[in-house]
Amino acid sequence: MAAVRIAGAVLALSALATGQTAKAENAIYQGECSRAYQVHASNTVDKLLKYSTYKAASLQRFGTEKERQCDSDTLSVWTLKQTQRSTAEVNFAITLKDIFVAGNTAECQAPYVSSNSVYGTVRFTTKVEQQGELCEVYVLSEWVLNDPVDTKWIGDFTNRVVMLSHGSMVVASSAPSKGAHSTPIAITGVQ
Amino acid sequence: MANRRSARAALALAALGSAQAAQAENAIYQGECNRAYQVQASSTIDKLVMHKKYRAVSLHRFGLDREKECDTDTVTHWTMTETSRSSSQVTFDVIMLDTLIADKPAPCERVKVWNDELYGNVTFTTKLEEKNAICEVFVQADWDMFDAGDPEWSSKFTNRVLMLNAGSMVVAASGPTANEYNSPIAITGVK
Repeated sequence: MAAVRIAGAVLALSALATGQTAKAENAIYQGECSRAYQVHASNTVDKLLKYSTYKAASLQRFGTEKERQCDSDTLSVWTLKQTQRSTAEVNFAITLKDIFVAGNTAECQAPYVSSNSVYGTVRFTTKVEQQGELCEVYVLSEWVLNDPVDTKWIGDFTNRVVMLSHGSMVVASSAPSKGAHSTPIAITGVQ
Repeated sequence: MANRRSARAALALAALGSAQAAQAENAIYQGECNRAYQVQASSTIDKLVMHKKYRAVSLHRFGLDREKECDTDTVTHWTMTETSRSSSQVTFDVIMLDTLIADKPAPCERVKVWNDELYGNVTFTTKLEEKNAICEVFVQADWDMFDAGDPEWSSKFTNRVLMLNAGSMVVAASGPTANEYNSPIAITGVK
């Protein structure tokens, strides 16, 4: 069971790491560079990530034969608890739990929660990047995850964050392939 | 039971219906109006919503006492199957299934599937909107949902869709309150 769980996690994190949003939707500013540096200075990450707790959800299918037979998806629930906050960075501890749900309910197991959680950290910062004569300001997230059941496994990925209204955020995922898919991570603040 | 389910569903759908992404992140084009009409003519909805099937996930807490006692979140699993497709609109059948996941020990139930589903349809179109001589082209989703456990209940709501790469999409949610939160809906194409 743990091997399947970990293989799944590796695939999911790989999908998230390679995904980006189209165009500059993930930038909080795109334009003239001197203005970009002003935007960067005034929009510090502690203002952008205003909550001390976030919850998130994502959905994955990893492409296994069992998933195909059961028409099953893995629903991941992410809990982010703030550990450190400054104008330069905001850090969170992560707990990630998986729920396995099968569309083929007659022949396959009822929904169940994974027996082991994944733990880790995520660090949010803001960055300025010059592309030609234009500059972009965006939020970067750096994720480090590990599995206490398999201490050899570690999942690291870095990705831009799409900032939505009300403190919600999204981390994009990669394209689906035959038998495998992965949603973006949809993140909401918790008061 | 059906009434309680419907109340929960109504809350979630209201939260999704009232929210928008910050700024113009949800526009696929923003700028000069002649160009916007060209973008709308060339970026037809069947090209933007390219998959025949989508899966999605969202996470909710509705503010119920029971949720607080058990630290329970509701993870909603969305299945969308294409029913019609043209250059002007793409429509899907929608099924929403809720799984409740609790963090506290018994008597809280660690995982529980809500035994009645919401179903309905969603139609995606592209729209062009002019604001102060600037035009936006965006994708709109019109949802029409019903409750299998309560035939008197239905919900219609409309919102913009944030298009990500690789056919992924996001529908924004409203901000959290003291006891409630709703993640965006994170949508992936299925091959």
